[in-house]
Amino acid sequence: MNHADAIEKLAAERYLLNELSPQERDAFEEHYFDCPVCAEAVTNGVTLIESGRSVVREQSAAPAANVTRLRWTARLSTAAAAVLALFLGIQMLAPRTEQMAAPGSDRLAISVVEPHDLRLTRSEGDARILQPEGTPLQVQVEDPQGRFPRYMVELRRKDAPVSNRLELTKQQAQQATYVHLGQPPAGDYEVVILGVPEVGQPQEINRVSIVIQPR
Amino acid sequence: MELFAFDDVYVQRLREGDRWTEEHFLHYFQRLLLMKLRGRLRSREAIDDVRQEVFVRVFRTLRADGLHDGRKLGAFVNSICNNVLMEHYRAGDRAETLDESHESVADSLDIEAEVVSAETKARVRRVLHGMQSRDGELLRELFLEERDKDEVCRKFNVDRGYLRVLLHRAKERFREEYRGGVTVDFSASRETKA
Repeated sequence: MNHADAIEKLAAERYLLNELSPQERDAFEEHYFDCPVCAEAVTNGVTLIESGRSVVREQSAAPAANVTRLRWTARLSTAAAAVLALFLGIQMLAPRTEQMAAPGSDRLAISVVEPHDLRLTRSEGDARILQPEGTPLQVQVEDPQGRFPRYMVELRRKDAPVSNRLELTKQQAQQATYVHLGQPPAGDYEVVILGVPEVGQPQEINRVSIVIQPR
Repeated sequence: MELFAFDDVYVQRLREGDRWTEEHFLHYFQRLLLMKLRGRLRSREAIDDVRQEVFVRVFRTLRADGLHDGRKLGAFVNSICNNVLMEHYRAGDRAETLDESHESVADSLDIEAEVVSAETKARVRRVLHGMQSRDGELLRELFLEERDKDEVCRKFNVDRGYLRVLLHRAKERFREEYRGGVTVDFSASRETKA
């Protein structure tokens, strides 16, 4: 099989869908091991499918977790009547209850990235991120629907009167914006996401507790 | 995965044990071998064993001057992998009961650990969100391992050709998502009194 054949026959897609005969499969493998374009098409496709499986599996599993994580989500406002996702290398989906999120409602996510040294602890439905001091802290905020014209991300130190605040536009929130929070010193923090409506006060959408531990 | 074409210079560096080239080679072919072996082997351990053996034989053969056209390095690795696979099957025939099939595939949860991250899942969500609702639903069904693809086609009243094209489009969007994204630095923020 040459590259023109592979493109014409959508060989990468057939390979991913397991539609090739054993002979065709062997021929395509022989080709893509030598063809960087097809190799990229296969690896990209496998990553898409495996990630998609993981996403769909988590979405299906979310309602079953209602009981154990109810308190955590109870803090969400009505405006955040959405699935809340917290990522930590492995992703943990927050519960979805009928009162809080109608089936098929839009996702609103805050992700904590840079997972190498992070650990998640849960108790009584509460979620906390533990991170060693000196490790860059980064969160990803995503609201595909962009239901607010502006968003605010706040890093609040629990025992201090000052908080840092950053505003995101609707477009940035729709694109899943990464927000670098620097390397905060040891202490108890919260990352709070607020939606800012055209009229009225900002509404809290989500918050995550983060404990920066001394080295 | 980056686009990369191999040549004689690259192979010569491999023979000489150039560290960067060896690391690049291992990184590049680990992924490709995983893609190939995930459909043929039943466990993650078996995949790792075969990959390891492939790399050992490739380096041994290269150092014995066993490849004369550097552009064929990929095909060379693939053929060695086929040989190792055949030996693995034969060894398995001796060790396993007859009703176990070579066609069993590795648990996707094992594979997932190597290719899936929070970032790739976020990209998938954006891809799904950006599609027309019917196509998004179709793709979700496609992602479910246990779904029979013909059944999915009947449900959405499409043929297998449509499925392939949809997957192709999703793949392209997924790739574009990798290049996109916005990063905002918190240091640009203002401090406010709480």
